[in-house]
This record gives sequence, C-alpha cells and structure tokens, in this order.
Amino acid sequence: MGAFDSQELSLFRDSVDRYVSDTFDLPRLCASMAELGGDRASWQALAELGWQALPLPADHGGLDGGLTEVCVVMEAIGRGLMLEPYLATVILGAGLIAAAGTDEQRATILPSIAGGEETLAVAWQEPGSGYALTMPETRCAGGVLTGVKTAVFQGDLADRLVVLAADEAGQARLYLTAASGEGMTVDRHATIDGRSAVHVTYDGTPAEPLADVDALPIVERILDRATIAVCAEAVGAIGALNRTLLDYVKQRHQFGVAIGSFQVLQHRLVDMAIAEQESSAITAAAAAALDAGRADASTLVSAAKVRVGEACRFVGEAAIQTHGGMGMVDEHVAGHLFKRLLMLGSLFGDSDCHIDRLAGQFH
Amino acid sequence: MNRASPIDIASGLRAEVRAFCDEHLPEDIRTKVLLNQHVSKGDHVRWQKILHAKGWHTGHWPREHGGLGWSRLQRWLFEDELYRQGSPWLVPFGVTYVAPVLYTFGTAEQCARWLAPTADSSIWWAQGYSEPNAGSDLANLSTTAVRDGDDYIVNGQKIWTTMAGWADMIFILARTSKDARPQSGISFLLVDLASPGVTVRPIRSIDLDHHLHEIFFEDVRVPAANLVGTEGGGWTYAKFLLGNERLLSAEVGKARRMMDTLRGLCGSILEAGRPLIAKESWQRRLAALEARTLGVEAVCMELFAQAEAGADPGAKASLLKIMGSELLQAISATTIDALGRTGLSYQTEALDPCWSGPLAAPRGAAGAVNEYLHGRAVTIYGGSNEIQRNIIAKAVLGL
Repeated sequence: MGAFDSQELSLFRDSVDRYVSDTFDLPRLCASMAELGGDRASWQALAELGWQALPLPADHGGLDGGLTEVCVVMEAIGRGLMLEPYLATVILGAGLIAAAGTDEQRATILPSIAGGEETLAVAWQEPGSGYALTMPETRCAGGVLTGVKTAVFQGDLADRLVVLAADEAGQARLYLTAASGEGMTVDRHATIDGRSAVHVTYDGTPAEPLADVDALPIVERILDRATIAVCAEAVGAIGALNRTLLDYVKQRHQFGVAIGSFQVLQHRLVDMAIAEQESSAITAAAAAALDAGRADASTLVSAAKVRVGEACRFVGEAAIQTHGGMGMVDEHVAGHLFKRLLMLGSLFGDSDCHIDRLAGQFH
Repeated sequence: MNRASPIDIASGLRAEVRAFCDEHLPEDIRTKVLLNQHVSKGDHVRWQKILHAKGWHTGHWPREHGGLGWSRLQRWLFEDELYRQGSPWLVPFGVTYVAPVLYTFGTAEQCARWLAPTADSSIWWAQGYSEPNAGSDLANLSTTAVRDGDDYIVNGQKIWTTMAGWADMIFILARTSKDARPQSGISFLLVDLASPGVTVRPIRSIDLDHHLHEIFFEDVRVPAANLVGTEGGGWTYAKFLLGNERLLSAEVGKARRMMDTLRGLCGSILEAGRPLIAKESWQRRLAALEARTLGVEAVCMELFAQAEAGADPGAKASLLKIMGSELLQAISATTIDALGRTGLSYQTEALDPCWSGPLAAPRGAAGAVNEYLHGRAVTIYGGSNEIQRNIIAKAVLGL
C-alpha cells in the first residue's frame, strides 16, 4: 500500500495535474529541449510542491510516499513531456543513496534533493552490459575510479553521479563522483526523445564510496522501482497521445466526413484505448506489489514492462500513422510523445528483454 | 518469339549493375548512404550524371526519347540492385514521375523543352500533389489555376513536398473548373519555382531533418504552354503517375541494405558481454525478417514477370506498396530494439559526414535512428497504406 490515503492521493494528483497543465508549452519545448531540463527555477518549483520529497524518508526531509504516489508524478511527467531530471535524481539517485548511503550521506544528500538543491544521475551501464545488470568492469582502487560508463541518463543535468564499480576486493559497490572535472571525460549526447545522456570515461577520478555493502542486489531493487516509474511515465504519455489522436480524427475531414468515421481507424483507436487501460492497470498493480514488498513483485515488474513496452511501440507508431503527414511534423505534439514513448519503452529493458527475464521461470 | 525469362533478365542486369557500382559509384557517396548520413544535392546530381552517361538514369524511357526502352521489370531490378549496392535514392520526381507523363500526354514542344534537362539532372523537379485539406482525399484539392490570356494564375498551397528546397520546377495539380465532379476539374501544370509569388518553406520533421516543405502560390503566373495534356485531364495523368510510383515502391534492395546494417549492429552491440547476434532469440528475429524480405522479393518478381508477359498489374501495384513499406518499417523497428541496448542516442551531428566527434553508439546508429523516424512516412506518403488497402479491397477483391 502507498503512504497516502485516498483523499490525500486525490489532492496530490490534482496539484500535480494543475502544475502540468499550467506549465505545458509546446512551442517552448520544441525550441529549447536541450536547455529546459536544466532549468533550476522549475526544479525548485517542483520541490515547493513536494515532488522530490515524495518518496524520500521522513527522517531526511521526505514524505515517505510509496511508488503508488510516485506514479502520479511520473504519469504527469509523461503527459506533460517534462524534461526535469526526476527519474535520474529522485528515483535512481536518491533511491540508491537512501538504500546504500552512509548515515552521513543520507543525512546531507537526501534533504538537499528534497529541497530541490541537488541533482544526481546514476551510471550503472557499461559498453558491454546492454540492458543486463552485471558485475561492472569499472574499478575503484586507492580512492580513484577507472573505467567507462555509458547511457548515463540525464547525466548532463546532474551535480554528481552515483557510479556502480568493483572495489579492490572485487565486490560491486557504489561511489559518488563529480559530474565532470579532473580525471574524467564526459560526452553529452541527445537521446531519441530529445532528452540527454552522457558517456563517461573515468581515468583516475576521485570517488567517495557509499556504505560497504554488496551493491548489485540494491541496484537491482532500485532498477525495479525505476522500471515501474518509467511505465507510469509511459502511461501518462500514452494517455496524452490517445487524447490528441481522438481529437484529431474527429476534426480531420477527408472524403466529406470526419476520418474518425472510418471503421479501420475506429478499431485502431479502440485497440489503443485497450493498450492504455492495460498499461495503467498493470503498472498500478506492480507499484502496489513493490510497495507491499510482495515476493512476486519482480515478476509483476517485468510483466508490466513487457506489456507497457509493447503499448509504447504500438500506440506511438499507430498515432503517427493515423495523424498522417501531421504526425511527421516536429511542431506537433504527437511526434514528441511518440519519441518519448520510444525512449521509455527502451529504458531499463524493452519488452523482449523482460520476456527473457520472465522466461527464466519456465525452466 | 524466344524471349529471355524474367530470372535470366534479373541475374544478367543485377550482375551488370553490381559491377558498374563497384567501378563508378563514388566511395564518399556510398559511405554516406551505408551510414545513412546526409547526402547533398551535389552528391545526388553527381551520381545521377554518372548513371546518365551510361544511359541508365532514363533506361525506362522509350528509345525515341533517349531511353533504353526498359520494361518495368528491368527498371525495378536496376533500382533494386543499385540500392543494395549503396546508391543514394534516385530522386524520381523528374525521371520517373513527370517525364513519363510528358512523353505520354505532353506535346512535342514540351518534350523537347523538358526531357533533356530532366534526364541529365540539370533540372530538379518537385511533386505538388498534397494540400492541407487534400491528403488521402487528393481530389479535394483547392489550389486554383485561372486562365488569363496566355497564362494561368495560380493560387493555393501545397504541403509535404519532398526536397522542394533544392527544386527548380514543380508539377502541380490545380483546379481549373469548379462546376464538375471534383476529379474532372483538375489540371496538370508545370511551374517554375523561381516565379514571383512562390514561397517555399521547410518543415522540420520528427527526425529533425528539413526534407519536407510547404509551398505557397500567390497570384503566380504560369504560361499556358505549361499545361500538360488537356485542361481538366489532370486526374488521369495523376493516377497514371501514382501507378508508376507504386509499382516501384517495394524497395527490396534497400531492405537488404538495412538488413546488412542491422546484422552488423547485432554483431557489435553487446548484452552481458555477448554480441546480440550470438543470442538465439536475435538469430530468430533476423531469420524472420530475412524470410519476409524473400517473400516480398518473390511477389515483386511474380508481378513483374506477369507484366513482362503483357498483363497490367493494375491495382495489384498497391500490394507492392503495402508489403514493401511495411517490410522497411519492420527492419528499422528491429534495429531500434537493438540500439536500445546502447541507450537509444540520436546524435544528429553524426549524420554530417564531416563530423568526427565521440560516438555514443556504434557507427551508423544515428543513421539507423534517422531511418526509423523518417521511415514512419513510407506508409503515409504516395497514398497511405489504409488507402492502398481500400484500393485492393475494391479493385482486386471486388468488395
């Protein structure tokens, strides 16, 4: 169960929805995607609404919210095509600090994240890892890191990076490094949805270790949470895209009638609505299972990513096709939602990857 | 008469095209195409001139107009093998779309004036069909051409015009009469894009490129000598042209090139330290796409062989459009799945052949993402696949 009762959750949902509808500005988004994510004023505004504090522990400035509440925020981020590094900082970064930080790190970093002061990103993937969480080749010896980390999502918007590396004893452990600076090369690149990631080469970079615990199971647990957060973001984007298309097929006339009167398009929109309903329901079910600490939670997480991942691709491609030429235009919201869905379908493993994970139980 | 079988024609022509590309396709252009980087207007023209010198650029034109009199099978095989070898898209608006309309329906004067510069690529043509309110319902177009002495005065807007920023001329469908049923008041006009009153604006698309354009016509004077065929006959010529477009629309050669790219990426993208190609699930996915490619190729060969024997494929050309376009999308979607492992970056800077900065993913990744995004349009343009299915339902199945 989540930490809010149903009335609190409904009030919170209203305030989140209001923020998104007040701030959504497509022309501004099209014009300056590369800069908007790093806008500290909007990051601060979110903190004042309690977004960052939401899932953090109450003893460090948080609200003790569960993943169920986080899904409300993530849906809004998807619906409003928001660029702020919420996933990277709050779900991944703060999640790892809360789970594996020392008492001192928790006491200093978590309140600073809750207050909208600090941003983080997590470097867990390496060139050879793909979607798999494996023993990292990046090593920490004598207090400095050496190795390569890829696809560090929104790493260019982070003040510091949380890095998965192997310690001198060969155990996986987490470290904090600067986001750029001496002893490291950081290359920023755009992702398909117009957001960003960095590729980091560490070459003797000073690193501060988190607590001395085996990091792999902790990272796995946080990635499960992040997977559901991403599913919720997709639910928001799928909903927005379905709404956009529904309006379009009612307004667009060809052959003297609204194109929404064509049966082939009606059936397609029905299938898209079914995909939305299923994505929303399975994401909520997986969030509830994680919040309750149920033994089958990981199975539900993978099942959710399989179904939501397929919905991302199906709804996204169908929406572009049905918008016709307008679907190809950068100034139209459909293309942006489509590309956001492509990214979300891929983050933390696509459908195929999670089918592999589920298939293991049939051995 | 003892004619060569389609299979013999195919293997002979394919071998000839392959050898020609090995010798004459400029390496810089081939590299751009294989990486799906930006190919410039100059690159297109340079290569088309090389093909023209060999006679192949207009191989499908009749001999009396300087062509080689190729059949449809030969033209398809030629382009198909060309794309397999890494040739840029042969821009069809001139040599394949408007030229056959001119030599089939135009006057001797029009042929004399336009065919030669079209053949040698000194004129770049654009296609002015779609309008904001005339997409699938093309006959709903509202651009007008009103006769005034020796001119027509054209007003209206065209949209989704590919590569119009590079074009010198555009052929348009415009309404010359309003009283008749929609199709019968349409005429086919050739318009100089440098005419006063023409404005060409690029449209940024979801792949972040600017290939698409909208074109505004404001009291543009077009000489009446640029009317092709009869006034009001434009719909017939437009359908003739779209039929040619559909017939060549199954790009199996491009599919094979994209399969090569995908296979290469699967060899270099790792999952838990192993290349994707080593995983049985990925081998099966590639095999399924390979089978599908062979299926489309078999249908092409069958329909073109029938055409060779004198049967008009007619509405079945729509089947090639559907199968070919959906095959390309299936391959590019699988490529996106592979690239997901590397973080789904889209480094548009890497589409510039001169850029040499750090790459976030294997070489060719940016081009593959561009292909996927840009390729959403192949089931939309040239008559959307929904329209193609309507055509088959009605004209082939009789529903």
